[in-house]
Order: sequence, then structure tokens, then C-alpha cells
Amino acid sequence: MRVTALAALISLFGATTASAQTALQYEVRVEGLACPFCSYGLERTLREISGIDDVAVELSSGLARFEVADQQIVTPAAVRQAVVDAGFTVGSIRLTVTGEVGSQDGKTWIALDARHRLWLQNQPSTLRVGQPTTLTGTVVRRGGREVLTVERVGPARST
Amino acid sequence: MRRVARLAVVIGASVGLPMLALCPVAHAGPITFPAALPVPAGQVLVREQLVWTHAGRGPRPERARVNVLSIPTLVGVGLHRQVVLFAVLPFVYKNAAVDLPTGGRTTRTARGFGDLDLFARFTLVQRDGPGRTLRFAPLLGLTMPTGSTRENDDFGRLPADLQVGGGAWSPRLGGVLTWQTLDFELDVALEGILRAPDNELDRGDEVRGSASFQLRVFPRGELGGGVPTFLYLVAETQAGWVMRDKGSLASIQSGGPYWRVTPGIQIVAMRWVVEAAAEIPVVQPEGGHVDVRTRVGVRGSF
Repeated sequence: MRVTALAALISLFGATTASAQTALQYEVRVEGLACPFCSYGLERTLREISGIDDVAVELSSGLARFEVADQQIVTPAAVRQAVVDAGFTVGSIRLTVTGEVGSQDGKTWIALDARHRLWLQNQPSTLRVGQPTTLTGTVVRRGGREVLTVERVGPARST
Repeated sequence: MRRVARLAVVIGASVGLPMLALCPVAHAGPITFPAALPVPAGQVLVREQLVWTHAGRGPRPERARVNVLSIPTLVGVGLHRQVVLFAVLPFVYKNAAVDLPTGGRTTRTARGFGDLDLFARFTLVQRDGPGRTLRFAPLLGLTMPTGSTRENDDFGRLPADLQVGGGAWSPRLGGVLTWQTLDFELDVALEGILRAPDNELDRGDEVRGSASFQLRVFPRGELGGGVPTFLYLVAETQAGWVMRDKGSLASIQSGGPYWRVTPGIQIVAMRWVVEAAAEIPVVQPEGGHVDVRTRVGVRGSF
């Protein structure tokens, strides 16, 4: 019984650790951005999202890059809305996410947290369901869902 | 004394009306009128300018020399990604050197806060692409007669056009089209201004068109990383028609077409803009004579 209790405790700790280790990096291509003074409005609006502290804007390419703080979740939908609220248009959202990969009804997803998932458009052969992993790809909104087209699969990053 | 007042009115009209008409905005873009560029909700823009207008005697020796220094403070607040509200309040100093009928010369001055100008801009059309945007925004504004119209000096009450306030409610309606890329910006605006009469002076209504072209000259070629500071050369022009003034203090000669060209320069960084421009009249309305108007300003984003 003591071994069982210990195993349960380790299992609980492991499950908690796996769901807590989610890291997010965004690279957003913004359209309509064409002058330095306009860049500040974009940066300011993105930084107002909880979990985003620093935003690096590259005017020549229209890219806004930022990392989400540890233990924080920023969904692609929130990023998309922030760009629109700043007065611009989203060209594309590319992100790198570390999380647990799961599947349901034949569809694969990666968990951002207990409530938020990104559904995967494709499933590379190196992807292992049930394990934390790092995926990089482009997110689009399709049928009311955020769908990630995976470009690269990597080992889970520690946060 | 009456002739002194009338002379001042003639010259004052040449500087008073354009002063009311100019309400550039705290945003990168044109120097003398608003652009249709975005201001996110909650963002605040502030612009401070120094505007100096000089009107010499010109072709008519009986005219007075007038200098007007205006320091308009503009605050713009983003209410929604499509709606921005602006308020402009100038501090005005007017100085007119007037020849007396009996010989000699006197100086009449007025100083104080002018009329409060409120206007809103609504982005109706937005077409974005990589490194470019095309937008159209209607404008709706109202100038309120908050400035004093009762200033006096040793010669009695100052003429209406030497007062710091306009004394009349002036609504206006217009629109601005902005085409901006990483290399240049083109803005075109059209505006109509109604000037409500007060007891003594019914200033003429006005319709005007404005255009601005800003060309990035630095950095040249590729931009590199981050958000570099831009240097623009600016070329603006404004043309319009102002109706004749009416009322007991109206000048005999007033109203008509006008056209001016404005070369300028602008340094645009991520959170501030510094700019300077000189407005050069090419065609002036009846009774109006302005040699030149120069403006320098700084804008900030918060």
C-alpha cells in the first residue's frame, strides 16, 4: 500500500509537471504596418496581453516576435485580436509550442493548457502521441478552431 | 480710432482664418492636416507646435504688419481601433503694427488661449498588405468659441480678427485618404467648414482640399532589422475657397480662392516625431496677405 501510494504521488506529480511545461514563442506577420510611429501602437497592444512582456518588431518584414512568460498561456486567437485592435491585419501566425501531444477521434492536438488545444493539420512521423514535445508551425483559424500545420518536431524544451 | 480698427481687421483676416483652418494631427503623416493612420484604443497622442505667421505690408502700403505666434496643443485618444478623438487648444499671441491716421505708428496686441477644437476620425476603409496600407477616414469636427473676443487696449476694443477667439461655432465635415508604404506616403483630404455668425462678424464658410507627399530619404534602400528612425522630405499643398465675411466688422475685401505650397521635413521614430514646414502662399483671398507661415513641432505617443 505504501508503494502504491508513493507511485500515485509520483504519477500525480508527473502529470502536473507535464501539463505545466508549456512554452510559447510567436512570430506574427502583420500587414498594414509601414512606418515607425505606427509600430509603437502594435507593440503596446500586444504587451497589454497578460504573459507578453517584450515584443520585438521588425518593420522591414512586418514581423512581431515575442515569447510568452512561463506558466502563462496566450492563444493565437488573443494574438489575432490584439493585432486587429491595434489597427492592422494579421498576415500569418507562426509559433513554437512545447506541450503534451494527444489525440481524439483520430485527430491529433497539442495542449497549451488544460483548456486550450491546438489541433494539428498534419502528423509528422516523428511525432509521438502522449509525450511532451516541441512543435513549430503556422496557425490558421479553420471551422472555429485554431489549427497548426506542423513544420518541425523537436524534443520538449524545459521551461 | 475706427480706421485703426478697420486696418487691423484687414490684416487680421489674412491670418485669422488660416489659423482656424489648420488642425494637423499628432501622427506620422502630413504636417498640416490629418492622416487616416491607426491609433489603437487607449493610446494617447500628444503634439506641440510653434506656428509663426508673418504678414508684412505687401503690395499695399496702408496695411499693418502682423505677427502671430500660436502654440497649439493637441491631444488624441484612441477610443476604438476605428475611432480617434482629438482636441486642440492653442495659446495665441497676436501683434499688429498699425499706422495711425494722425501719423506715427502703434502696436496692438492680444494674447491668450484661443478656441477649442474637437474632431473625430472614423476609419471607414482599410486595405492592408505587407508593408503598405490604404485607408479612408471621414472627419467630423467642431470649433468652439472658448477664446476671448472682448480684449481691449488704449484704443478701445480690439477688432474681431485681433482677438484670440473667433467668437463663433464652426462645425466641419471632411474625409482623408491615406496610401502608405515603407518608402512613401500620399494623403489627400477634402473638408468643408461652416462658420456660424456672431453679433458683429459672420466669417465666410470655407471648402478646401489638401494633399501631402512624404518621401523616405533615410535610411536609403533596405531597412535592416528592428524599427529604424525615418527621415522624410515632405511636400504639401492646400487650395480652397473662402466665402466673403459679413457683418458690421467685416472687411470690405474678403473671401475668394487661395492656394499655398508647403515644403517640410520630418523625422519619425517609434514614439516621437519632429517636423518643420514653411507654408508659402501662391494665391491669397481678397483682403488677405500672409508672407509666410512656419511651423515646427514634436509629437509623442503614449
